[in-house]
Order: sequence, then structure tokens, then C-alpha cells
Amino acid sequence: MSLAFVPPTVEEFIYRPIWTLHLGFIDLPVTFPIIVMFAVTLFFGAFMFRAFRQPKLVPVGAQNVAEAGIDFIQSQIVLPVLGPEGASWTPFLTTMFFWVFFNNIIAIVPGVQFPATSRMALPALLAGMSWVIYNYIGIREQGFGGYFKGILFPPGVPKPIYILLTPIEFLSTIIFRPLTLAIRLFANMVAGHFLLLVWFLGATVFFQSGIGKITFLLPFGFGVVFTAFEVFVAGMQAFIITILTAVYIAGASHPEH
Amino acid sequence: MLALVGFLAEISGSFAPIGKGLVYGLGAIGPGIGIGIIFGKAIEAMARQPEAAGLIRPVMFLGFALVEALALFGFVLFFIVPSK
Repeated sequence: MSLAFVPPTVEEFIYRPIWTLHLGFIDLPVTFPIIVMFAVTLFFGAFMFRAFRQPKLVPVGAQNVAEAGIDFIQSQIVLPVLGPEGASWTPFLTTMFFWVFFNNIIAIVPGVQFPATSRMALPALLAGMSWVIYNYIGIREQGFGGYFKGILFPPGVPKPIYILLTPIEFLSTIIFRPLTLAIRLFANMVAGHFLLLVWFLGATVFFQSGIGKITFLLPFGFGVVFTAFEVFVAGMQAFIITILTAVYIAGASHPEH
Repeated sequence: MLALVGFLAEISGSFAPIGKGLVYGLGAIGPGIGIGIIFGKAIEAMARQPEAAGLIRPVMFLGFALVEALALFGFVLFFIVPSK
């Protein structure tokens, strides 16, 4: 028996297109992560539809679970960050949280075990959406001039400092915000998937080796522990991308004093 | 000692893999310190005023996320830096 341990590479995240949709002059290759994403979306949509098809005053079953989820977003994100006047953001933020959460948690569902959010397209889409929304809200609430004056020339700063501050503020608010939002989610899920791959591939190698099969229990045990850690990371990252979007919206809707 | 010198002399080829490793290693130093400060201060704050724990926790995770992004830049750069 050979002890060849092949470390996982980026190749693990690249899937061949299963079939290609031809839409006029655009080709849309459909790959495994896309199918996972649509399956998750369909599942989430079906669950929510079932929960609120005939809403009852005293919730039972699916409605109970869904209302607990919405209540969590309302009490942990919307009220502390956006305040009572931001209650209209609850549907959007709830959808965002649970969509990201289910796309993350699919990484440890047996049979799939691939986080759809570890493909940059999904985090980039979410970050782009968040960017468009908070800039639109900022311009709508404060006016074009007022919004960019608030970003680029924050009040209460000595005049010469603006030479240094304005480029930094522009970069951080307009360019780095969506970039970090996307990379945070993407890199966390890629790193988590790598971690699990390393532990379980290691366990396989130890199990196939001649030297005491029982040694495979060590990497396998760590793999189990990190699987539990991945559940935490999945919820955490979904929470963070949602609360950051809420924070950006809140920051854009009120001028700085 | 001589054996080590001989071994080092024998190392030939690209140092890019070492550089790749260093990108993440160096990138994790600052965020490591930062995350330590954030959680330490949050624990301090919660210990001083346990009734404010609910108020502190979301802010703590927010700061954690913002600092952690820097470490993750290093992680992403690991894949961007060419290995040859």
C-alpha cells in the first residue's frame, strides 16, 4: 500500500459543465454548484410558501419555525442596527440570511458536501446587490451631493487632513466594502471546505495504510470536530454578511454628524 | 552543521512555494492580534457589565468580521501568487 497523500487543490472547486444552455448569443454552462444553488433556493422558497400559505394567528408547524427565523432577524439585526423605522428591511434581510445560510450549510449535508457560496459568483452577486442598495438608499435619502459629501468630507476634521482622508474614505466606502463583503464569505467557505477535505483525505490515507488502521481515528475525529465548527461558521458568515448589509444601509440613510 | 550547509546548498529551484506560505503567515499576524484585542475587550466589557452583554455581542462580531477580512485577503492571495 502506498502512503501517497494528495493534498486538495483548487481543482476541488472546479466542476465541468453538465450541460450548456444556449440563450441567443450567450452560453450558460450549468455546473454542479449552480444546481445546488437552485435546489437550495427552491427548497427555501417551498418551505416559506408552505409556512405562510395559510398563516394562522397561533402558528403551528412550519409557520412556527419560519416565524422564529424572522423574529431572530428582526430582534438581532433589524432593530439594533436599523431601528424601528427600518422594519421594512426585514423581508430582504431575512431572505438574504437564510439563503446564504442554506447555501453554506449544504457544505456538510451528506451527498452534496459542497458549499455553493465557495464559488465567487454567489458572494459577488450578494455584495454587488448590497452595494447597489446602500448607494441607492444614500442618494435617495441625502441627495447625490449630500451623500458623497458625507462620505468624502466627513465633518469635524481639520482641513489639511482631507488630502489624506478623502482618498481613503472613497476607497474604503465605494471599492473595498463590496470587495471585503464578497471575499469574507467566499474565503471562509473555501477555507472550511479545504479544512474538511484535508482531515477526511488524511483519514482515508491512514485507513488504507498498513501501519495500524486505528490511527485513522485521529484525523477522522478532527474532521468530525471541524464539521461541527463548519456549522458555526455557516451561521456566523450568513449573520455577518446580513448585519454588515444592514449597517451599510443604516449608515447611508442618515448623514454623519 | 556541515550536513545542514550541504543540505541547504542542495536546495535548488523555486522559492515561490515558501513565498506562498509566507503570504498567509505574514497576513495572519495583524488580524491575529486584532481579533485577540476585540474578544479580550468584549470579555472585559461583558464581565464589567453583564447586563450589557446583548448590546456588546453584535458589535463584537462586527469588529471580528471586519478584522478577519484582512486575514482572508492573505488566504486568497495564497492562491493568486503563482507557484512557479
